[in-house]
Amino acid sequence: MTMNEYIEELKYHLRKMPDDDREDAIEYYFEYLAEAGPEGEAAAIERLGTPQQLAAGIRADAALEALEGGASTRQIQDCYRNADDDVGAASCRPPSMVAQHGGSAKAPGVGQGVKAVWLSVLGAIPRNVLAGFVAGIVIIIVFAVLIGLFAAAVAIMAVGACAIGVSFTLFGETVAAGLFYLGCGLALVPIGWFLWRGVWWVWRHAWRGIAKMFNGIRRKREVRRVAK
Amino acid sequence: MVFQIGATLLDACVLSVLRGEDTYGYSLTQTLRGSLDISESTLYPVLRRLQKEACLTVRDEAYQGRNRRYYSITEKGMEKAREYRGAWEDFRGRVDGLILGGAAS
Repeated sequence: MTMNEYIEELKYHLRKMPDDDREDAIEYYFEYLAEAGPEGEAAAIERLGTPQQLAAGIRADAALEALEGGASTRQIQDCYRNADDDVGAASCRPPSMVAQHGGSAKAPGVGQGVKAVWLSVLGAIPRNVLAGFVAGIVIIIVFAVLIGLFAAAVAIMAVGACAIGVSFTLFGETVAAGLFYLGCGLALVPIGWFLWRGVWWVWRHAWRGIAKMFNGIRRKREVRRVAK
Repeated sequence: MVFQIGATLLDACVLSVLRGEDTYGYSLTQTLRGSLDISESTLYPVLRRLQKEACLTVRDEAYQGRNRRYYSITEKGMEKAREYRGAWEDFRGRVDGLILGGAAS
């Protein structure tokens, strides 16, 4: 990788940062590599790590810096969040550094400190590992919810069937109670059945959806690799 | 290196080097790397913070058709560096007492 490619890629990974913070970092590392000279350039790039790693470090430092400056957690997250989605780039500049529009800069509380630690931890995990981890959790949740709904459908049908059975024994004593149980039973069985069908439909489509999601992630990664 | 370099010690080292002469990021990094086991990306946030704390100022000079950013220490930075120097002598004395003194007895 040449110096210019390295800087371009660094720029890409920092694109969610506020413009002047990003420019500042880019200028520093551009100058840094230029100082290393043609003969030292490759070694310096090697020691700096991949642009993605360097960018993760810069973003983590920026998040901590903003935290010390009293920026809100939301602002820090916006600034620090992995730069892969293109929605809503917000400034993570501490309020004390922005033009004071009447707002008082709150001192960061414990909650924000914990969040900052979390952000740093997340930043240290390679993005694809993180994506795999999140995908795993999503799959487990979907699976658990669907199993629960299946069980509910079976239970409703079973209760309906029991009510119908009980109603026949009740007809001997009071017709009203018998009719009530029969009615409940006849209503519950189809409700359970429809729930079963519904969950079954979701079940099939959920796996298809998850498969699509994974394909999407893989495609995105391939596109990125090709772009390199 | 066995011992970790904390943020304060790093500040102290940077300010002390800058007390000698103004210098630019790459050169400063290489100077520190001559003595300390720090990565090439360690100094960027440190220089930024020290600049924000008004311990140093920057000035851009043209060099071979591009920019070279020099860092110079301010009066406040000098003051800080003096404090660190005193604190370091104190700290070094205590640790020497523990490590070297303990070994001697």
